[in-house]
Amino acid sequence: MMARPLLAFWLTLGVALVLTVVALPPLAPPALGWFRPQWAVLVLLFWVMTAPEAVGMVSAWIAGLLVDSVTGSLLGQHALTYVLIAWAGLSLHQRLRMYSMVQQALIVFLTVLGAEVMAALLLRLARGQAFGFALLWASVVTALCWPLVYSALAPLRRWLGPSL
Amino acid sequence: MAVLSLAIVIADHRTTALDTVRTVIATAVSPLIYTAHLPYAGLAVFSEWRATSEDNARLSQELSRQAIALQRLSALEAENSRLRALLGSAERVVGRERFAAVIGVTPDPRRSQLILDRGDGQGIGLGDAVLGAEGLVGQIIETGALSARVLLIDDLAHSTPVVVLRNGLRALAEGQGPGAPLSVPYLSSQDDIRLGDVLVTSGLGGRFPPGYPVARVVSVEGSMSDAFLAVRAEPLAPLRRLQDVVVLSVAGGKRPPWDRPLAPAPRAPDA
Repeated sequence: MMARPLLAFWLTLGVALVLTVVALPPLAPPALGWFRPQWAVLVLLFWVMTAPEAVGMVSAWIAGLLVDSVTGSLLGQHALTYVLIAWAGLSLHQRLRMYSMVQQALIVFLTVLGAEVMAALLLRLARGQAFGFALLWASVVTALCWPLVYSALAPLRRWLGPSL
Repeated sequence: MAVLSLAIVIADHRTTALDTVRTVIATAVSPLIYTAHLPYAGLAVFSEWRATSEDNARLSQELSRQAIALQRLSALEAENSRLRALLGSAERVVGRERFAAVIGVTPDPRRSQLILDRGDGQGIGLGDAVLGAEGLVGQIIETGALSARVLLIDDLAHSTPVVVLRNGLRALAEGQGPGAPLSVPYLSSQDDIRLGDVLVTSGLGGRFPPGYPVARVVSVEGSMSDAFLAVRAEPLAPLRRLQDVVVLSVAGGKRPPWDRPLAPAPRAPDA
C-alpha cells in the first residue's frame, strides 16, 4: 500500500509546483511576491505526516531539486531545506497527528522559518545576498495556508486507506 | 543527504558542471511551467482575438513605413561594409534570431528572471543574448528541451558592458535588483555623462553583440570633490511587461562570432 500515497504525493506536488510558479497578475504590485506561500512545503509536510512509510527524505530531496529548477534557485538549495523539513516532519509525525490545526500551523511556521533562515544563510555565503524580515512574512503566510492545504488533502488521504 | 545537497549547491555555484543536470530537470518540469502559464495564455488569445482587426490596419500602415525606412538602411549597410572593408576590419557577424514568448517569471521577488517557450530543441544555447523591441533584455542562463531561463539585466547578478552612445565612453551597467534602475559605477566626475544619455552594448566581453540599446541615464549625482559619480540608468526594455523577445543565437559552437576583437582597434559602435 505504499505506492498509492507516493503517487498521490507526486501528483499533488505537481499542483503545488504550478501554484508556485504561476505569475502574479500584471496589475498586482510586485511586492506581493514576498507573500507567496510555499505550497510545495505544505504538500510535503502533509504527506510526510500522514504517510511517513511512503513519503520520506528521498522524495523530499527530489521534490527539492524540482523546486530548485522551477524557481531558478541554486541547485540543491531547496533540496537541502526540504530534506531537513522532511526529517523534522518524520520525527514529529506521531505528535503532529494529535495536534489541533492551530498547533500544527505553529509547527509549520517554525519549520518553514527554520528552513528559510537556513537557505538565506546559504545564499548569503554564496552570493552575499542580504536577507530581512521578508523571510518571516513568507513563513507566516505559509503557516496560514496550512489549514487550507490540510482540509484539501485530508479527504484524498482518507480515500487512499489507513496509514500505519 | 543534506551533505549531498550542500555539495550540489557548491558545485552549482562554483562550476558549470551541473549545467546538463539543470537541463534535464528543467526539461522535466517544463510541462508544469506551461501549465502555470495557461490562464495567461488563454487571456492573451481572447484579447488578441478582440484587437486583431484594429491591429491589422495599423500594422500594415506601419509595415509600409518601415519598408521605406529599410530601403535607406540597406543602402547604409552596403556603404558600411564597403567602408569596413576599406579599413580592413572584421565584418560584423550577426547570429540567428529566434522569436520566443515569455511563459513565466521567477516567483522569487529578489531575482529578475524570465522563462521562454523555446529551448535546446529550438537551438537556443547558454549565453545567448535576449533582445526586446526597445532594447537589451538579458541572457540565457539555463536551457531545457522546451524552455529557457533568462537572467535580466536588472538582476543583482548581472552587469552589462556598455558605451555611451553620444561619445563612446565605456562603462558597466550593473543590475540592482528587480525594478530598480541600473547602476553605472566607476565613472569619475571628469567623465562626460549626462542625463538622458543612451547606453548601448559595447560588445566587450563577447557576450552581447555591440550596438544594442540598453538603458537611459536618469540621474547623475556627485560633485568635483567626489571620486566617483553615482549614475543611475533605467533599462529601455519594459522588463516587467515583456511578452515577446528575440533570442540571438549562434549556430554551432558556444563562442559567438562577435567574440573577436574588432580589428584594428575597438571603436564606438555605430548605431
